[in-house]
Amino acid sequence: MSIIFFMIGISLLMALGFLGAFFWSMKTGQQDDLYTPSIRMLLDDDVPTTAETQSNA
Amino acid sequence: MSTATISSTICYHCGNDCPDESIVFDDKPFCCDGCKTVYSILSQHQLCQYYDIEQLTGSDQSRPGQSRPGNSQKIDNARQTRLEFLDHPDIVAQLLEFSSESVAKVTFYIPTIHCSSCLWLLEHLYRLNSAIQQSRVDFLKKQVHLTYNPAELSLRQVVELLSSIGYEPLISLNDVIQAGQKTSNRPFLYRLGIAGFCAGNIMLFSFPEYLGLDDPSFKHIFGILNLLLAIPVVFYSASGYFESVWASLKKGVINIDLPILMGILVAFFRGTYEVLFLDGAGYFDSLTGLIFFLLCGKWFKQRTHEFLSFERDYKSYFPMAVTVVEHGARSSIPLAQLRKGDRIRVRNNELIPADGLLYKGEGMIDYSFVTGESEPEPKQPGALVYAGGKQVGEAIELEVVRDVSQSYLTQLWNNDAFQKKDTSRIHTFADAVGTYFTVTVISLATLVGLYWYAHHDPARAINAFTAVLIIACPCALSLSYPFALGNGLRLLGKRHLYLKNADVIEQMAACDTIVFDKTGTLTTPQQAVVERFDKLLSPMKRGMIVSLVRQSVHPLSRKLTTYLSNDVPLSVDYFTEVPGHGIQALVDGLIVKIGSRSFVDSAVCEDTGREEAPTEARTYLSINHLYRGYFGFPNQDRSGLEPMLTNLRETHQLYLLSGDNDHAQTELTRLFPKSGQMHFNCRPEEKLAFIKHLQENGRRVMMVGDGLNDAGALKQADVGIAVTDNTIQFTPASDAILEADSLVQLPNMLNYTQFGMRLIRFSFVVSLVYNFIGLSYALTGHLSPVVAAILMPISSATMLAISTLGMRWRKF
Repeated sequence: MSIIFFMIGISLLMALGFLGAFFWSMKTGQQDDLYTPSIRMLLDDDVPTTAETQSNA
Repeated sequence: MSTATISSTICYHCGNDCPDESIVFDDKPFCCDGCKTVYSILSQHQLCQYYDIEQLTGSDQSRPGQSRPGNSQKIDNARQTRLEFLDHPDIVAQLLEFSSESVAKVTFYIPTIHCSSCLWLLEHLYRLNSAIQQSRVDFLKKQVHLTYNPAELSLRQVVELLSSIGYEPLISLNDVIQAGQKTSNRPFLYRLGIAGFCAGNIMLFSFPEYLGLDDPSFKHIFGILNLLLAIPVVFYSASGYFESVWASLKKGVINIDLPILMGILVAFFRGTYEVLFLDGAGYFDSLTGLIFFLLCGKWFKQRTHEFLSFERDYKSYFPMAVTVVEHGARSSIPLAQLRKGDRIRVRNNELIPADGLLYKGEGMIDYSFVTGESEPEPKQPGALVYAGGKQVGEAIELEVVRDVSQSYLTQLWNNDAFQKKDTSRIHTFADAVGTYFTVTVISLATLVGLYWYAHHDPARAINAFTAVLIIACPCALSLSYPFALGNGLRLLGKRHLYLKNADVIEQMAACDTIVFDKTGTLTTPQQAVVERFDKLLSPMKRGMIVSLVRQSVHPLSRKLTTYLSNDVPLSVDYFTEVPGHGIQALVDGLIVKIGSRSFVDSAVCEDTGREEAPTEARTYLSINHLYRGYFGFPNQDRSGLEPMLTNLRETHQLYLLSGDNDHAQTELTRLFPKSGQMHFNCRPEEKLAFIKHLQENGRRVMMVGDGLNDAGALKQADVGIAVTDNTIQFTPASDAILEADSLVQLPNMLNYTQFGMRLIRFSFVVSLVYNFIGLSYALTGHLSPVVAAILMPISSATMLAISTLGMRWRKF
């Protein structure tokens, strides 16, 4: 049963990993604005200038 | 000449109706040069996707705010000179958040952001100018964060770039003063995260205890782990309770947080003792779970309407810089350097920052920010002009007679009401309960401890003493409060009453007196127009009028344009606008004049026109020097006012304060029948004093107002509600912002807040029942961790259910 000590250690480390991830996301401001990304992801990226359109313009 | 064309073409850019001679560019119609310029900039940089993202459906006249920005350009062509102040190094340094040789960061508030097209365009600014490295939009706050290269682009050029595509940032004095004191809820979320993490793991390690597994070696190691995990929760996550209790004890008050903190600390130290010396389990699972729930409640309550600002004062719309005229030369200086005696130049649509004497130009001062009255007041040279007004028309020059902070309006902010914090507000239910509760719990715990000590059982005495403190922790009240009020805040927000924070609900419920402002609050300068002509106007004449007024940006002209929008405009020659007087032009061979009485009708000299003292704004009309009559713009009572006031009269005392003269008194007597309810000619300080007087007589006062002249009264009142037609517009500092259309809902909203407080009292009674059950265990000294671990979540869940479901089910 002493394996359980090892497993508890692993589980705590994993949990700490997630806590670290949460802190990182806070620190980089990912939780600051939760609304704008929901619109931003709907906007397509387009290719700005191709040779064809340039010649037309 | 008289070819009438029905304009049904819609501007490709902004979606407004195009005038008859529409500007065609790239096979697309445009309503003005401004829109055309924006389009040409965008098409040059391959940014026309802008037009595909959010399609405009025809001319959206019902929602004029929804059109794409750009049409503002036809109004502002003096912008270039207006932005001169951005070259001033002091101002640049104050605005920039970060700057180095090659990178500068700045955040602008852009009120015109409203759709995904705006978002897309603003985030593609780098294509318009490569010196802009990054732009990120915060949609709800209507802000854009820009990173650019200051070596290639100056701050002024950045603002000019934004303005050129119609997104002119609003830069006010407030940006400078509040820079660097942004509040963030990040520290709070760290605490919440830690508490959730530790509580979850402790619960995991407590499973052997719940299941009755009794292996002593596990028990010890789990106990130690739980203890280690609980330390950050108690001393970091719950540190807010230490601060709150310390702050209130310093003031000699016992608040509801004291018994909570006692429960937390006693449970923690007793658990530590049990784990270290008795090989017991401790109460760490209940303890950390409780703290996590409490923090969740606080977080729920804290999340408010971020896109609104409740702290605005005059600073947030005063300009950062003014143009000073010295020996004929103009220069921009920061507002803080403006001194008495300086001569300043105020252009069209600029704000007058300090009281001054008008010495050059015709003043037309729009005091709508101050009084809610939207019609501009004409001023002649030599007149004293108060700060806070906006000049409409030609540029004027003023000599400053008082410093900015000493001006008529701004000195209101020197009043005591703005110095003190919100401590004098109504004593809350939680505070009242907190005192009694704490005293009862401590005496009960002591009595029980003494009882067992007297029976020669000191171990049990300590057990019972601590168990009472743990179990009687009023966590239920601290949970039902934030959840009930938080839900209330959200629901009221859906009804367009935006509260500054959830506690305002309790203040609203306790109010017994309501004071209304008149202009802009109870009455509104609506689009209604009355025609007073000897003969009815023919469609032809209406066409003449509309073709004239739509050339002008004067507020009355714009109102008339909307009013006459069904009439067919004619073509116009020799259009001239005489600022402060009126407009005239040749239409169909006839001279049409629209404007003040003396302007249109030379037979009337200016004085007789004034003797009438009209109760409403008027604009007069003459055709070929023949006076025809006038259009009146009466201030109207908002609809549904009478039933609302009748409703409120049953429960509250009502008063009316007005800055106007009493010409509307007879009309309002119907709404405020009792004598002494109406007060006219109130100056801003008098309004404040009136509220103070009511409060000294023991009334709890709610003030409903709109303009800056109500700011003092709104601040002094127990609850200040700012009424606005448009939440993006300026609103004075207040506890709540109410959209004008929802004003008639006020009685229902007040009922709802009172219901919320009843619900909280009810849930408090329920929690007392739980406490009695728990106490029956505690008194005997047998509070096992398992019982605590069951009772705590059950009572918390009940509180959550009562407060959330109750507040959501109640319809209003």
